[in-house]
Amino acid sequence: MFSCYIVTFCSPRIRKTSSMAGMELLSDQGFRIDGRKPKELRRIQCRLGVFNQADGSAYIEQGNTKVLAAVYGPHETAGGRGKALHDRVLVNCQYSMATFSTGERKRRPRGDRKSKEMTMHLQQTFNAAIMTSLYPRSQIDIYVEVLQSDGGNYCASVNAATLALIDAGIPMKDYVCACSASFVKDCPMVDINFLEESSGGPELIVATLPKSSQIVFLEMNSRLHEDNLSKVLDVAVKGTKDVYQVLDNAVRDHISEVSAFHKLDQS
Amino acid sequence: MTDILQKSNRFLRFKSSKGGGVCVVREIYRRETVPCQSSLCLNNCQESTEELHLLPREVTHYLMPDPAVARDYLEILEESSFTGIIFTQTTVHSVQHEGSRKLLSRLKNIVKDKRRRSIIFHNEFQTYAYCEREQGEILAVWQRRATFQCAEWFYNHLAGQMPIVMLTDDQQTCEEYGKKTVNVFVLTVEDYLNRFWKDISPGLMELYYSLKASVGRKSKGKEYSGYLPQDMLTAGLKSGKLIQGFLQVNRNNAFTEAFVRTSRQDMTEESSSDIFIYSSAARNRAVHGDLVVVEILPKSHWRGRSLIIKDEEGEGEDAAARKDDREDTTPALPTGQVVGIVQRNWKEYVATFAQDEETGSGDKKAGKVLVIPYDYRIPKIRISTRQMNALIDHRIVVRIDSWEIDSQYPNGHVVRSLGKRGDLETEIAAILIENSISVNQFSDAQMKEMPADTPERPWRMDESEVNKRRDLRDTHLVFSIDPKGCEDVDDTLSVRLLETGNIELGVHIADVSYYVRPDSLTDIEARERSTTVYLADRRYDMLPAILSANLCSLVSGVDRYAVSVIWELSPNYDVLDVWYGRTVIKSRYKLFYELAQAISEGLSSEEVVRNIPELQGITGQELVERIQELRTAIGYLMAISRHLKARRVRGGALELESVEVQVQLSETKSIEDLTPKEHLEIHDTVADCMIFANHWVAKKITESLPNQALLRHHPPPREEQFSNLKNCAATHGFDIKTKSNKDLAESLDKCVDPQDPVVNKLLRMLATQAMTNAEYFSTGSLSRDQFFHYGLALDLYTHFTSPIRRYADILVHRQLLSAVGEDNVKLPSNTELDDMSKHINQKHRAAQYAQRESQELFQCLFFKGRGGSDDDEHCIVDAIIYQIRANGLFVYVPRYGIKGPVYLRSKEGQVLYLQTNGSPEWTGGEISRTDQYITVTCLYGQKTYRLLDHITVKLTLLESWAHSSGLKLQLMSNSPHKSSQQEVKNLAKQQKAEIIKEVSSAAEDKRCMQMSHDLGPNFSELKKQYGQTPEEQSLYSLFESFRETALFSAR
Repeated sequence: MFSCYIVTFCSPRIRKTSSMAGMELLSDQGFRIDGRKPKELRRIQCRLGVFNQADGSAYIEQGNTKVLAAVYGPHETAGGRGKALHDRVLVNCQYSMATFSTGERKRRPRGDRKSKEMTMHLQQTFNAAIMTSLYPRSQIDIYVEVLQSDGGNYCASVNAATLALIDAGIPMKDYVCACSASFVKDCPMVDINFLEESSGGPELIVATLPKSSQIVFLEMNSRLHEDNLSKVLDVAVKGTKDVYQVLDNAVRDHISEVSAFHKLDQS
Repeated sequence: MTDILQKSNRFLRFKSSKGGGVCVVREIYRRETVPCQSSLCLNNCQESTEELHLLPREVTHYLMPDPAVARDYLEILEESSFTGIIFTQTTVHSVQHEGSRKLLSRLKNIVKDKRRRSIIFHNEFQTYAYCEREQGEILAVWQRRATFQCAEWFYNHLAGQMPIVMLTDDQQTCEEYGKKTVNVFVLTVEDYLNRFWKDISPGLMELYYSLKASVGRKSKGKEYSGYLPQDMLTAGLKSGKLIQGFLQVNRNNAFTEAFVRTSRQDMTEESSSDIFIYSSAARNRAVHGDLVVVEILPKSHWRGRSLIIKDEEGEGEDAAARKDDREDTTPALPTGQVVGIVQRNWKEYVATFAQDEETGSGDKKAGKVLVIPYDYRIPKIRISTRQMNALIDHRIVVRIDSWEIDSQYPNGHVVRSLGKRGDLETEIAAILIENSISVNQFSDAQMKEMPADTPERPWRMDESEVNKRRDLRDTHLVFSIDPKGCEDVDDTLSVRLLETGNIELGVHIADVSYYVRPDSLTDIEARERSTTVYLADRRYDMLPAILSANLCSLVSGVDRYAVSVIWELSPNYDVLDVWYGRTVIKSRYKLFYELAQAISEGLSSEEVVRNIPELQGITGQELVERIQELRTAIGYLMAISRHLKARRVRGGALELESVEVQVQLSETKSIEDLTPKEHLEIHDTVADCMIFANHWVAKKITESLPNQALLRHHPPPREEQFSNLKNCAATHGFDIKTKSNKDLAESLDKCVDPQDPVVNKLLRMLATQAMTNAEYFSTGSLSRDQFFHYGLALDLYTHFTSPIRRYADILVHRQLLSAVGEDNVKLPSNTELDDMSKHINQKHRAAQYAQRESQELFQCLFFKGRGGSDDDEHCIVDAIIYQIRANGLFVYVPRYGIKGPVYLRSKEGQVLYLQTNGSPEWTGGEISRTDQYITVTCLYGQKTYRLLDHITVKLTLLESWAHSSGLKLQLMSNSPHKSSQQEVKNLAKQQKAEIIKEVSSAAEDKRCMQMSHDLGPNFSELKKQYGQTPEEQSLYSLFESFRETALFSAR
């Protein structure tokens, strides 16, 4: 049923919580810290084709998380034939965060443990979504750069990369949409921001192929009671479908824009 | 219904962990439909129908406090008559961040209480009810603007059906916004209360004014004022404008009252040099024991100390705030405030968490907690701990780290736990730590210095050493008189008639200084300890047991080194010659007091033989001679000391009563002396011999070391200390003269009431209380006229006779031996000796306090579980009034030797009156008081209590969580206790000893019970089932035996 099902259980991340001590994540009237209701996504804005030199590119903003993605390929494998796979395409990802993306300036934009982990996750995700068997012995590069980070970096990266892949015209089974969810005061919350992430509560990240409701990636941090898992997962999957709507609209807008432009050009 | 969300950003600056600023951007989503929760709402903005329409229809207006009001006057809003309060989100944030967590939870409690019909409104998520803070706008101004915007929106949202009152504390805001919108009123709290609530509940105004006053105080921003810079302090001290001294907090009123005792050099000055420090603000972060610099306030600020007996059980702050009346105070004393601290004397404190401190809740784990020190005089200490759950009922050791200027309490940290509170071991450990007494084992290095005395290698005297000493083994009849069962005998006596007709008296003291060389490890350790500490049920030795109980102990029948003082007395007991020096002795008999007394009174020879093990096995003529010899010796001894005492009394020596004084003044083993016994003449005999020896040694060392001899003096007491004694005596028509020690002694002797033997005892005890403490000093540091010993009426005095348990005596031994040229060790110089004597004094005092506290502890344990029934004969006892205070009496309970307060007025202002049928009752009434009596007047009648009246009180245990438990004395009857008359006489000490015995055995029982408790009743059965098989049957031992046999065969 699932094309790929990756579950990683990480130990709860240790983060600074001192500055937000005592914050109420969900008020009695059902408002979150930033004024959203539990089931509301942050505002998503996106654009395709932001760069000309890359084969495909996209920019996405989910709330204050801003991500840029560029796709190169399919092309011959770089660095000799040794790496090339004989039956499918090599998906090569690189995730990096700009040094100015966080509150305190980051020392290493890429190559630290977190970035490497994220790179691997992206790679796994897109291996599951791209029709890899169409391009044996070749390579697709996906570069993701986080410009501003405010929670849900993985989700924004996946969504941005999906758009960039579509922009590059690489055949995929479906859009890959990702969304996170948490569980506070017996209430699942979708698309959590940095404050909610760092409060130490559970965090569930899921990437799906929305049309078929197939899960391609699932990650869970911190502890969550088994009984509540399905509730949180449902909310997150619902979130990915909402994201899909937004992305799909953006793609259609972009296509119509581009085709209009081309028609204009040809005429 | 779909919302249109607007997104905007809010920029915040935080401090990062590294100290720099971090800029954080947070997004905020706003919408038009934020539920207003009002039952008047026409827009139907409620999301679900189940939710209550909280804001009521019935009120005349909704109330909207601005953040400052919510922070400062929340207590007013907590009044349950206020309903329909709208707290904006801005307000809640402000209460959270600028107020405290506690304040926030109080606010939330208002909202949670459905009867209050109040809400939190999320104005910051409402598109129109919110206004952005402008660049550079002051926070408070923005908060008020936002609140008003919200009020306006709310008014419009409800389509003008309900007026809104916005409360603020800022006059300008009222003027600015007040006229802007009709029916949105902007009022100050005062205005609002005046207009709406004055008639309904006038108490609110009172509350408002008291809150306002406290806000004014807080607005200073700092709890305390800063200290003066160092150079100003030095200059001020030099010019005499500022005064330096140790801060002494009043134990009975620790929160407000403290004194600064000016430093040691001025010890002889009158008490007017004590400076009164009133309130903790004037104390300015100084802790009990700190060396501080104070500034005297102008005379108009002077005030007297309170005469009210303070209920010791905490809550000092409230009591201090409430009882601001000046009528019950003494005349004004010189009052000052602390302006600088020269030296902190922070040590380890024993503390306990507050009893009701909430535990659990995950996010509080690393929180800061206030702990209550064991000592009332130490302020609460703020610590941060993660182990609170585990330590909640433990006594912990805490150290103070710092006291910030803006913090009400000092910060500290946990050092370790002592164990569960209430356990005997924990409580004793707490007492030891509170008095800074260390009771570590002696280290191996120290033990290595000790001479060995094992069965294989018994200790033997050194021949060359013996040759150097005067040998008294065969020439003198040496014997010791001590309490029964005493282990460390450090003094022996000898007496004989010389051929010339003169008498030779000898006092022989254990030669500890021979074993303890200066600056050896043992010496350093002994100096550190300074004294053996005797607690109620145990003792902590100053010297290792090998010395104190063996080699230095002058037990009978063995050769021992000694230092002797031998006088030749004329038949009139005038001293003709005196010899000091090292000797070798062999004590013939180890007697105990009762036996010695009996011998002197003509005990039959058979009895003597039966009681003295040393005499057994001797028969015939020799035995008769030996007994006769001993009889004569004791007879002489008593005659001599009678004479010595008479001479001393003629000089004005005081005979004082109570345990305290015996510790302080008498020379015998009175400290160990907790086992009951009557006061015998032989006690005085031994004591006087010791005093005689001490006096002559003091003479000798002062002569040869005029600037660096260690002496002991007893400064005369201050005249005004006797006032209470005089008052008491006057009620029975006695007159106490206190001009000199002689006058005092004589007038005390006259104060005998034939009907009431306790009176004299009590008066002597009060005289003791008035005394200052005797102290060690170095002759170089005081002028000659201050050497005087007031209590003993001797011009020179020192401690020489108990080197096993006092370090001062070891020092004196060294000085004496160097004075007679027998031992050439390096003696401490005047300054060294001065420091040492201060240290020893301090340690002695600590040991005494520890001893007293441990006795009190045992008393409390004794009364634990008693006193429930009204007729428990242990708890209903006779008591005598010895002091009158504004709201009660201080009484003395002769049966247990306990002193304590009896309240006649409760905290609520009610007075205690005894009905004719004898049952006490609290009722409305008044109390009037003079120096000699106190009168309770109420509806039922009138009752006067005079000093030295007998009353009956009931003793119950007053359990205290954080402090040592005390005894509560309740008035039961105005007449003396029935059975009290006869037995009272000498019971006090006896009871104490009994108590200790009983409690120790109870603790032992408990320990035993705990051991067996774990196992359960059917343990043997369980063991059969699950335990290990018995050794002879187990496979393990079988295999083990195989292995052994295998080994044997291999060999």
